Amino acid sequence: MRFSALCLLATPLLLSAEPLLFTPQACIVTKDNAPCIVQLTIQATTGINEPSCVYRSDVANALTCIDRLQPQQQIKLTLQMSHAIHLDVRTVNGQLIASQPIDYAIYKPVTTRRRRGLGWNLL
Amino acid sequence: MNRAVIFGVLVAASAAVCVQAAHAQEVPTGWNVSMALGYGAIQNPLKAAHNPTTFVLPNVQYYDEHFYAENFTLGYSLLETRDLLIDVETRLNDDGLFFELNGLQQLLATDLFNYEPRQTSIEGRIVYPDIQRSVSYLGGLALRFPTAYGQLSLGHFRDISSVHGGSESHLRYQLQGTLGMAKWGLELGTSYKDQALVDYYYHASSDEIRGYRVRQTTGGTHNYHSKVVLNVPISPQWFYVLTAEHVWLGDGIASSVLVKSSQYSMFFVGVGYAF
Repeated sequence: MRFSALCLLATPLLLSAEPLLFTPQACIVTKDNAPCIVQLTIQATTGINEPSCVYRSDVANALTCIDRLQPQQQIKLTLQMSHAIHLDVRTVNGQLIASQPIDYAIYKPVTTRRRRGLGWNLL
Repeated sequence: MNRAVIFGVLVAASAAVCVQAAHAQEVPTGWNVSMALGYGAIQNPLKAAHNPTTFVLPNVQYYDEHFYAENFTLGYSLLETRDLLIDVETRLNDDGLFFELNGLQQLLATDLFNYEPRQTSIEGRIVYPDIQRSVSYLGGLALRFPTAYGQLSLGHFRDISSVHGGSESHLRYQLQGTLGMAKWGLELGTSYKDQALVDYYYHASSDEIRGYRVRQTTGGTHNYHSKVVLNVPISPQWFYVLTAEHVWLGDGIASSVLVKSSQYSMFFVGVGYAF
């Protein structure tokens, strides 16, 4: 059974010195304990000139690897998660290039009721 | 008859402004607690009674999926749609409060200045402080019809506190809207109080009038009321509060030997804080 997931768009920090931008930075479900599926984009800001891989904190193997990444070039990943994770991008030599937590959140809409009487507080 | 005319004018006036009114207010579920500091007073329509004043006005509301509490009004929703609300509801009867408020105020020395001397022969025989009535609690069914032009509500409530065994029925029209940052509310209503309820609170026993022979014509009657509320935000949690209500008592109550005035008002003005 698949559950709909809502993606929280992260605000890109244009002036950030981070070499990679991760969007979104959270995966949001509408039901408790539902698996969350998110399409993640990793965009290079300054470029990566050596072979590197993307690692997920709860998975031993790399999710994907690249030879190089030009500025503005993107990596697209589909993640399924049921808890918060970390994504690390490391060179094949183990040097950390970027790390980004991806939150797992449950969307609980604000439920409202209709006020019955006319009290003195209407706000 | 004058009461009906005035009430009709108020209904017509409210209809003129209702085009700009917002829908009845939606509030988040959970607790909604606020407190106002300022000055408020109630004209007590009972004879030889004091006009209670207050500097604090609390407001406690709670809503969950079906249950709701608005101060002393408790309810359970049987149906809540966009156009119709059907609730089982319990509420405090306001007639008993006048006797209780009077008793409380007599404890305050400052109220000696408000003391009203007895004037007529019948009043001279009545020892008003000896007249006591219990506050009653009512339960019944309430129907509310929210529309873009305000909310109409009907309710019928019986005594569930075994105080008088009477009942009262309500018909109310409520309107809310915004005026810039301010929010306002207007309510016009009438309530029918049956003979058992009116007699319990407003018919004096022969002991209470010390055997004086007087024709008492209390009975089932219609009260009318109008109420206005204005909130002006100061900050996300602070706001100015103005609320006022005027009640026209029906002849069945106004004719009571215990009642001095056929109408009364109450108001509060101050600053509110939402927790």
